[in-house]
Amino acid sequence: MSVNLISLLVGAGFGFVLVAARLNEFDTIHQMLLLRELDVYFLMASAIGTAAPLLWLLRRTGWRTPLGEPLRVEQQPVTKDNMAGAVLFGAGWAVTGACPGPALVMTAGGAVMGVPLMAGLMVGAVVRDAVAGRGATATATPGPQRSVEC
Amino acid sequence: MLPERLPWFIAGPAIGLLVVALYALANRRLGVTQSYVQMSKVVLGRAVTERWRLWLFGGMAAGAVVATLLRGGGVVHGDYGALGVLLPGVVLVPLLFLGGALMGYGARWSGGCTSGHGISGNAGLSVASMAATATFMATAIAVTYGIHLLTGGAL
Repeated sequence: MSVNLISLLVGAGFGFVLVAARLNEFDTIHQMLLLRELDVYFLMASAIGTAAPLLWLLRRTGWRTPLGEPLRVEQQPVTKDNMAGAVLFGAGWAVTGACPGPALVMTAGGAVMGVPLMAGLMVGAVVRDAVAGRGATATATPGPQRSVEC
Repeated sequence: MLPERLPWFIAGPAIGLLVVALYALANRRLGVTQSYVQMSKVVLGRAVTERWRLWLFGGMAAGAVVATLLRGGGVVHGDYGALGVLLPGVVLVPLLFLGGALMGYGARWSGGCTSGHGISGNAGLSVASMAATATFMATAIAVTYGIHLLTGGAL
């Protein structure tokens, strides 16, 4: 299977689950951030709790992808950029009640208010890349090991 | 066809397995924000540099459509939960645009969002992701409480 096909299938599963768990709704995220409803925290924790030991095991056993590449799980040190960006991200998330994945799936599900949200996400991401010198001409390092993935 | 809300103990592990699948089969970290960067290239007619991110994006949209239809939705609507009830469209639209821009800028600056850092990065035991997640969670909770007070409890 090609990387593109795998990405399509994983994306389909991810999009389906986000909507099924109602993460595409402002009220779900808002109640979460008001600490009135803890489901989404449990969801995130159980996702990490499922993936972390499996990824650890794959690395330990020297797993190779079907293309024969050794598995590369991203490990990065903490930087000021990490923290500063996370503050802005958290503020935007609180206001909109939807992060990048939910913004996409709510729009795909017919919510027109997701359109300005997605437009903003695109503009913000592109502006940051331009500021950081990673504009249209400076993205010559495709691949899984870039230091700037999301 | 779908329960009112898929419980976290099914949704969470399912997402965890998807993260593992994308790593194990494609050596890619599941994160959404950079798909927006690739989408912007499509919109602006520029060369796409990471095509798989568009496939991920398309897959997510398709999965969302299926789940929405199974729930009996699928109608185009202008709702936005409690925020949409409180604010008229002329305020809501620019607010969502600005909030989105703040998130897009912040996620690229931080090197990840709720999926890239919050789930995949933490699952990979990256300290940068742990620090970023703690930071954006704390900020989001604080700002949400600010909004709660500012709106006199309406939000």
